Amino acid sequence: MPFSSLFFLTVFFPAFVLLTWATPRVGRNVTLLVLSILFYAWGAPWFLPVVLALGIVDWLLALQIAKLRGTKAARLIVGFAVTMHLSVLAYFKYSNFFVGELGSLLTQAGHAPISWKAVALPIGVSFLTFEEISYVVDVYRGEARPSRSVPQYLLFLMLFPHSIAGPIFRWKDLEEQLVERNERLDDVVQGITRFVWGLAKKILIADAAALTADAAFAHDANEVTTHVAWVGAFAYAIQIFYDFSGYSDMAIGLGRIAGFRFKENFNDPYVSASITEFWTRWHMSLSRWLRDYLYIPLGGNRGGELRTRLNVSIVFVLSGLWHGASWTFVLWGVYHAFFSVLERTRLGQLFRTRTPRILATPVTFAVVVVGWVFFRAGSVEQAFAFVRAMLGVASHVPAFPKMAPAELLPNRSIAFLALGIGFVIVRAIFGRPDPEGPWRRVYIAAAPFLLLLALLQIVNTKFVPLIYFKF
Amino acid sequence: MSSPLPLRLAKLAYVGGMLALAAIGTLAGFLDVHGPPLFGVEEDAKRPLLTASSVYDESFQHGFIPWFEQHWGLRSYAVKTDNTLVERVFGESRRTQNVFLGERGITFPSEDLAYANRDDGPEASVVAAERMARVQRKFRGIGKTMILVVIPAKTSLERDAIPERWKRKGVFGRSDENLYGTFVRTLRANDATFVDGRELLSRPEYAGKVFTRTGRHWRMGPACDVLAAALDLARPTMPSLGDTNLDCRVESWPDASIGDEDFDLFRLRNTWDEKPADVDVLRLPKKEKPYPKELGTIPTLFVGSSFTFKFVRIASERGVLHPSLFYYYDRSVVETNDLLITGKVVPFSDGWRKDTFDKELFIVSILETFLPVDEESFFSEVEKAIDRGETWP
Repeated sequence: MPFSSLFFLTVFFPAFVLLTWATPRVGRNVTLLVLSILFYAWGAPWFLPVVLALGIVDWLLALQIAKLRGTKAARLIVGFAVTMHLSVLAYFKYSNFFVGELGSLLTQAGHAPISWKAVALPIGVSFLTFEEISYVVDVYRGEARPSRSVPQYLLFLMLFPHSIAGPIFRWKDLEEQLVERNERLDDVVQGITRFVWGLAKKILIADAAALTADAAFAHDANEVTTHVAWVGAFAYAIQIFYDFSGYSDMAIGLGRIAGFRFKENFNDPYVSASITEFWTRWHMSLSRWLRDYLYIPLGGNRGGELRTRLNVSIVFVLSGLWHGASWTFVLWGVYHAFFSVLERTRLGQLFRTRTPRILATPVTFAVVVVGWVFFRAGSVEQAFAFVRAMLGVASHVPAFPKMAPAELLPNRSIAFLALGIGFVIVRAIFGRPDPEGPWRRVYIAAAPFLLLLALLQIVNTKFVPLIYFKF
Repeated sequence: MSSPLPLRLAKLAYVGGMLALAAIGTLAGFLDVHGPPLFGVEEDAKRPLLTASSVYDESFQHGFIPWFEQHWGLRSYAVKTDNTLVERVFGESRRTQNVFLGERGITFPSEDLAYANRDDGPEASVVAAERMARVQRKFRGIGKTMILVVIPAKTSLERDAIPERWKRKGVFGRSDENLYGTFVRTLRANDATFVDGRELLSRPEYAGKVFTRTGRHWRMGPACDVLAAALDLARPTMPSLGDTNLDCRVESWPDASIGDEDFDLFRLRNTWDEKPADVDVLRLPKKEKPYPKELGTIPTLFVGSSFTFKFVRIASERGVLHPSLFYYYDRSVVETNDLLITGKVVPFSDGWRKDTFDKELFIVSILETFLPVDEESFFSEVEKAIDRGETWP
């Protein structure tokens, strides 16, 4: 049940606000847990018992870890817990990919293909896994206290605003809020407003940008012209940013309605002046997680420059794989690893220190845009063909694209792509508006209109009539 | 510190208003308030049965969401308002509407625009035309007459109204040669008997008169002229047709309802716009005198798409070419006297053999938009039946 679906918006969302606020403060967590379980059950009912069981086991293990902290047993238990969660992730998210790859290798070697029933991917399993791992590790490190109750821990894991697409929570960030929150009416106003702005980012801007990105990427990549490739990649950059950051806004807004203060997940990533900076601004909850639970345990930057570069590369490659079980995501990780390591070289440092921000920002943006091609492409071949076209080094570039200008860039896409990049430029120049400043009223007053526009579009895009089916 | 009362009331009003805005459509659906009807056909979403197993295997969720969206209370208000906004602000329709806005208020169906932008090679058109000509000869061999009719796409006759932005550079118009051109040339090379509706209706006297700007289909007058041309072609091999042809004089029909075919693209836009007053719907005047018996009693089979429906209406209103049936493109069998669907085409069944082969005249329409595959199944099925000697009786 995506937040931008008609059912969520017109049934679940009002019910959530009303039920949360109709419930006496002491019972609000129970209401939230029930709603979260219902929300999850709607999307992946068959996986719900697994989530609940893993949550309970995790909770029990964390209690033991806390009790035995500092001993070898605690280390063994945390190792077991991490292995368990990674195994679940590996099975549900990666088994199809690895079996598929193995099967094609065996087939090429003349063996019979592997008989394998595809495993369905449960919603939010990647986020759940990371949150569960961070919990046991933080308890083991003594950075967090174990949860005192199973329902409380399950609420942390399953809290519906973040259970599909993050942000990635950490127990230590939410523990106190789970116990006590001081919800006020102003939180509901702010939460609803933030939610609606996120919805508008997704429905109005990202979906309009998707028209262009989809048209470009549907094009035969070996026949794509340089300008179509750039327009498509640029549109996808706008789409994915407004889609994902819009979704994070919705999650943060929903949390705020229930009195939670979630950490921000995006901080104007496209104003970054380097790839290193980009990763401090894009999907920040993931970057923080990877830093704390992968990069630092690998040794971070403590083992010399070569070791640091290796660690950075490992983190980016695994980050790519975390985003999706496909070689295109791995390549996307390798691509970012390459530029991150490059920035650590003398040449990269020269670029970072000597290039004025006004030049470094568009260069960084262009690098990110090219990287998104790997993220969006349906195959490695398509990705490379697209990038070759972008760089003007394709072996065959047709004189004209096989699409009309309006197929690639309908007026609606042009308008919203301009709006999307306009926001980025304005933020790059003027920075974030003061949340308490004069824009606050405009921000709140615009929300009803944005909700109305988004609702109209959501309803209408589901209506695809034909003139005659029969008469 | 709590807010002062007026501010608190304003916040409560804001929250209440936003929730009402979100929930009002669902409440309206619950109360069966649905608003004005929307034009267009969509698959009917059935409400799934709620059981533990249907929830567990997600079939309930997958079935419920389309049903919910289709029955959302204020749906038609939302659709019409959104379409009106998008057209006004961006000068374009939503792609999901399947209508494109051209110059001078002329609208096009998405299939016709796709046809004009197609880049297929000519090979398949050659194969299709050769097969049609072959089948036509086989019909002649069993004493039947088949006339092919090529119906033009709207984008072929109203080309200057297509915005440049919708034309694929280097590709637009190639279908004129690769599909249509090749097709009719191959028919001619194979001595096929056919009416080239595109060529006929491209003549100056038809300029701007074949389609209304708001309609997807041809108007009554041009359709009648093409049918008359088809009957003229049939006459040499069918003396039973007699000498009198159809009277294709038409009259304006100012009271034509918005439900008329000539407004179908207008309706498909589903906006709040009023019915355009300047669209001239044509109809056949009331029949003044009956046609000669010969023209009335030719057992006829019409085959084609919704364009062919005009032929069926002409035959029905004029009381000619009876008894007849119409094989519609979705495989429906239509009884043309009262325009009722009586069943589905079941190839090679006794009923199909009788319905098909007890006719004397076959008028098969090929819509340019769907070249070269239009009516493919009809040709392959009748050819097989003739080859096997499985005709009727």
